[in-house]
Amino acid sequence: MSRASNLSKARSHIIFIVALLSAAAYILWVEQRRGVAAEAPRRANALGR
Amino acid sequence: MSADSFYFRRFEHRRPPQPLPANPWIESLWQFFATAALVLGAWYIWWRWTGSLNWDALWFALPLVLAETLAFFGLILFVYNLWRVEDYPKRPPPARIGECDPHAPEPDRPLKVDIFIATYNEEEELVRLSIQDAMRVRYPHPVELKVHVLDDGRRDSMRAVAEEEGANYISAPTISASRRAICATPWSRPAATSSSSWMPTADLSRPFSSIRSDISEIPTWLSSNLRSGSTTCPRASACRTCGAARLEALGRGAGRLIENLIGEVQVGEDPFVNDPKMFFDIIQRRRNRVNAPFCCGAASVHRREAVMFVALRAYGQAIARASEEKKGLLKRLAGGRSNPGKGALAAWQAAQEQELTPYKFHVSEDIYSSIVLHQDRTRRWKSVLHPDVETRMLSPQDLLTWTIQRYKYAGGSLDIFLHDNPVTRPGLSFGQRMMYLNTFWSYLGGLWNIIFLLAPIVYLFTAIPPVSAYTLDFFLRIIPFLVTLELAMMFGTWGISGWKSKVTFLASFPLSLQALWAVLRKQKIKFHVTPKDRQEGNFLHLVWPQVAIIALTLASLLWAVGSWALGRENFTMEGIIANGAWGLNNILAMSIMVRAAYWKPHHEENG
Repeated sequence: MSRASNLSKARSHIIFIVALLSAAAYILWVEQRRGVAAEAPRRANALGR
Repeated sequence: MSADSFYFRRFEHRRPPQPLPANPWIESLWQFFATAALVLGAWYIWWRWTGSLNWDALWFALPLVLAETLAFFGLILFVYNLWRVEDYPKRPPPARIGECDPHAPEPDRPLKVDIFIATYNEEEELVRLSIQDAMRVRYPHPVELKVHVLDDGRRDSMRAVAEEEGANYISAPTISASRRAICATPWSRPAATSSSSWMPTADLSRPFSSIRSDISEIPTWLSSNLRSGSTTCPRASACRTCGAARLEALGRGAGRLIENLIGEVQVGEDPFVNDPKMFFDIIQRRRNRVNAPFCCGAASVHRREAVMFVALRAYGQAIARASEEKKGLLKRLAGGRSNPGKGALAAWQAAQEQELTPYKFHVSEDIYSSIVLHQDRTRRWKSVLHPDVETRMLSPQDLLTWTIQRYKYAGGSLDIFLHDNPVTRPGLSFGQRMMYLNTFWSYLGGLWNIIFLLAPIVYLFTAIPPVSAYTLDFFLRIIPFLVTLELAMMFGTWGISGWKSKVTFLASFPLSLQALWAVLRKQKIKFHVTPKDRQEGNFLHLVWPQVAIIALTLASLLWAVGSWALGRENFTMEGIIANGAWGLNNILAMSIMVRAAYWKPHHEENG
């Protein structure tokens, strides 16, 4: 396999990992925000507000 | 008809485009957004199944979520297909047979090449052009080149034309009518009788009548393709159906300014989306990395040794299977007594009944033959797609012709998928399985596309949402997925308009459903020769499903807006916006097909 082909393959792997982590970070952020948002009314109730 | 009256003569001055340049930055952006779209899509699909189903309307919610899941699986396959460009390195054309096959008995002899032009009922003058073009093919080394006309129509007039042009004429006395009905091109006879090393094929359903001496790139067809590998599939470019013009032609100053900003713009383009760039430059080219480009009939070049090797092996296996059945039959006839002589008799009888078929007798014999070559684990034959344009083909001029052609593609591929599925059979590598599965899966698209077309109509008429609610949860998941997907497709198909292919895929749902229905009922998908001339008439009857979708979507949209304004039903603004936008997108996609039914070439419109 040529050097150019190996470089292209390595680049693809790096981009794949970066994209995977970026998308996962977004998902975690949304899930956390939604979790906090769902928790807020419950806390408010518990505090008697 | 005289040779000058063919429609494509007006376009023959056009130069074939260069292959799309491989740009590492664009490819990186494609890979980034494609991966992100897959992750976000998987998250969305997971949420759809686990947290969004409308349990009060499962009859609606379940089919839609299932359709979304099947479409998402297709997306995974498509991303795998397009992942990376890895062109096959260009090598100089071989001068001697020893460079193609180191074990050849006479390694120093020049190459022998037979060009086959298959015909059935095409006009003789059209075939004449193909013969003349084949005769003009050049090669940088001495080569023994023969041109053969294979006439399944067995016409004396065709024989006369072939002889006038100096080509060898072969008629088809041995192919039965039933075989003719299912076989796309009479490839098997030449493969069995030819003595050449390479067999370029000019399928006359798409003749290479444009291999003209005045286009310098085209006669290089042979030199570009006789390199190592069993099958090569040079990129072919269709003559555009109508006279597409550059935007520049509309107004020099303004046109140039716009084109400088956003790139070349074509107006008056082919309404049938025949531009083969998507298929050859994007899909087939990116299969090189896993040795999976498949033969598409016209302009393919096969190595005879490869074709005959797999054919002989299949022939031997068929005889072995048949002789076992015969042996059992003979044993039963002899009252259960075994006799060693009967084994030889059974084998002989079986051999008489079997036929050596170098190419599969099938409506999709081109892809089928590639599958058989790829499945050969002993020799590991290679197939290569060269991205340079080497031939030009005719493309459908009317919706009827387009429909006949696409129905054959869909029916043939689905028939292989459902009756001789290479994805589950031994032989192919993982990458090849994924690529073939991608091809077959795309022909199942009608199953989920019909649901995508009906879903907004159902909501807009009934106010029943397929999701539990159009809430922030829904939009936070679907919008990032759709945005990253659009960006991925833009970078993945950089240089061509991917939107047209996408809407044609959506709008051709009746075709794929009809083909699937025919295959499930075990109807034989027959080979009807694609007409080469424009068929006159109105083709509205071919697009009634698309017209019905447009009418229903518009009616449902009006109903929903009216009901919401009057405060009736349970419509929500979010629901109407989401489904209205979805419905409008569907209308746009359907209208392209309806427009194609009315389309006439520019010169006909002007009388």
